[in-house]
Amino acid sequence: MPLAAAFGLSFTGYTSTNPVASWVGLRNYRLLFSDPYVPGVLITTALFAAAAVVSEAVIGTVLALLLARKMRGVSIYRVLYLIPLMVAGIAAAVSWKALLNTSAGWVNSIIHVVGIPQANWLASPTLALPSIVIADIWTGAPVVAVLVLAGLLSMPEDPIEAARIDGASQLQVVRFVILPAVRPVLGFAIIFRTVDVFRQFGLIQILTGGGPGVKTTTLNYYIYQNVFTYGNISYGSTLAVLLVVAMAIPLGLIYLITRRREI
Amino acid sequence: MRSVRSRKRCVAAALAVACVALAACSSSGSSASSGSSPSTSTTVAKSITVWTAADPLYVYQQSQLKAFTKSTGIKVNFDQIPEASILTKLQAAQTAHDSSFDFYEVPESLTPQYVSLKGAEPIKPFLDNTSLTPSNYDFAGLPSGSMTQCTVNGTLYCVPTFSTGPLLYYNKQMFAQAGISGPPQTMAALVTDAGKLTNSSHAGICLRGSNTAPNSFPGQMMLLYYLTYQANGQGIWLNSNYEPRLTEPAALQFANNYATLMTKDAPKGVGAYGYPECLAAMTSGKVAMWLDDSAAASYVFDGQGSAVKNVGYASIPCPPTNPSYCQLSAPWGMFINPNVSAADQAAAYKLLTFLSGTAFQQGALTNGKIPALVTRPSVLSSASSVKGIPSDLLTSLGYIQTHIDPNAIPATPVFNQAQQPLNVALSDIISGQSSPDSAFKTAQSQITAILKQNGVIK
Repeated sequence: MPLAAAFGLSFTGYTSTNPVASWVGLRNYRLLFSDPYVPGVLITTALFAAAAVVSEAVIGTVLALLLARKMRGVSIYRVLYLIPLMVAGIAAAVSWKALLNTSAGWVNSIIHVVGIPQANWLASPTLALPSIVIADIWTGAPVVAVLVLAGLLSMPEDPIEAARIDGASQLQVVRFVILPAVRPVLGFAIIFRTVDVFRQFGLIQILTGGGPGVKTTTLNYYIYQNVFTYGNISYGSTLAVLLVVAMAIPLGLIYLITRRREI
Repeated sequence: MRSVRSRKRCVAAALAVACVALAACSSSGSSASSGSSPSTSTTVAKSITVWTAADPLYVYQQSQLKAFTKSTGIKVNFDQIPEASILTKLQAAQTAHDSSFDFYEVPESLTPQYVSLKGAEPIKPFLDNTSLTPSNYDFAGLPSGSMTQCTVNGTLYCVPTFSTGPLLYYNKQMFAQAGISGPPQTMAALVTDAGKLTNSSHAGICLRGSNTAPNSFPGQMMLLYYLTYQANGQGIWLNSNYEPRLTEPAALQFANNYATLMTKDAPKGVGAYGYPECLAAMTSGKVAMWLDDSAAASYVFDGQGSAVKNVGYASIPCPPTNPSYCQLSAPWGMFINPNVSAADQAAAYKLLTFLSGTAFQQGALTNGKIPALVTRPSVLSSASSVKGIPSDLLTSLGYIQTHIDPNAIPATPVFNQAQQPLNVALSDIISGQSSPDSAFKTAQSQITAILKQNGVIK
């Protein structure tokens, strides 16, 4: 229903001070092409999604492989890596903002002790987006790790033992036995994270507010600005339709890749 | 195959039409306002619900509600909502003509929005009802600048709940060390002093730099000192034809001074600073000056958790180009929900007169030590010295209240949207992505485009 309502509203002139769904045809869709912020916002969204999801998939899988090993105290590590999932998103964002504060943050304090020049994490055009990606990885990688770990722990031991008896190295076992076995779970984790990254809001709002300039304004955040800051509900709905289309492209690609490899 | 596609198109079109019809129906729903007119009603409800922000200012209000209940018999459910979400929640509630609250406190600048959503009840009929208005209620003593922001098409919809304006917080010790005898009296002196005060141990000045802080709030505070005043209600940086004025020489001079302050004299990373970061920098002795809203004064002078004990407060005098209306004020107001019964509205109005009354405000100043809750200039002027409140703060607040620009921020979605390029321009200046002139020229053309698209200018 919300999706259908947004689609319907995208053809109207509905604003917070003129809450009448008057028909305006494709006017809002034409505005998409003349809005000077839309190209940059789409690029930022793509960069953010690609960097965050790829990093989370790699780090999460490596974490899962480490946590699947049989060693003393592994249960404690498994719980430790779940902690980010238990922290409320806003609390995590506020903590990251304090950590990355240029003048008084712990990250720069530690860097200063080591002798590295202090970075302007959240207000620099080149570092602001990577800072948000790092904060997103902190909560996203454990999600991937948990899902992949579940897949690993439910795997039968026989194929791994057979590969080792055949002389496969540890890296080859991972590459040719374990990863193919957990691919469906990993594919699901990547789809899950892609959707989550596209709708990331709290980190951007708290850490950078979409700045500096519009360097960290993603499509989801731009929708929020239009609907709730500018009261431009119909144009925000049009952007929401664009978000659905923008999300469908990577999700479709992931689905196709997964399906092709399954055949 | 073609027929299937055609059928799908028909279904999609029908769905879109149904959605629009649904939205149209929901938007045209009638108000739930009912009962007798407030101008004649004498029935007063025994219980009301207040929606306000979760802020220490309102904690004091809540602490005084026992006295209100004792004197009126009206019980108050005081619902404090996180400040980040109250506006969103209220907008949704008003769109749905929600009747679960009777009284609410939000920024006055949003009055036109609430009026168009049929979410604000006119105040005048209550004022005229002698059975509801206390005989000693001094309506004329409320500040005209703030009241203007509560007025839409000549109708008053709210009364200010707290007073704000641009206040310069400064570290007296750092000023003395830099050989500066007192706070700057002009914007040019502010820039010069910030340069003198900047050294390796602390920055010269702090201004909110983040787009969402919003950075344009202190920016527009300063712009009122640069641009000539517009009395036509178009705001600070639109001319009488609603065209932006960001390429005027005075605006470009501001942009260059702003760039100097934010790139040379502000703390590193100020581009991500909001009000809490500047407050922390000020109270921990990491900046010598902070230009921001006066509502923060209570957090500075109470000394709790502050390493700086000798903070001075100043209001920079208005320039000759704008001698009377140089103070940007974004006060919050008290509103009555029209979607509740007349008895509930009457009870809400009684709370409104209590909180905006002289006695409550005197108590907020002398007992609560919260000058921000004092909206009546007469209360401030009669209390030239209050134990526990710096006298220069009281003097500055008095100056602010009598020099407010009543038309600084037109609250329309188009104007809100038009501020976005200004926010981005200031952010680009801070981060060095654009020169001041280039950033303001870009903002000028983008704002012009927005205003044209919305039919504000041709």
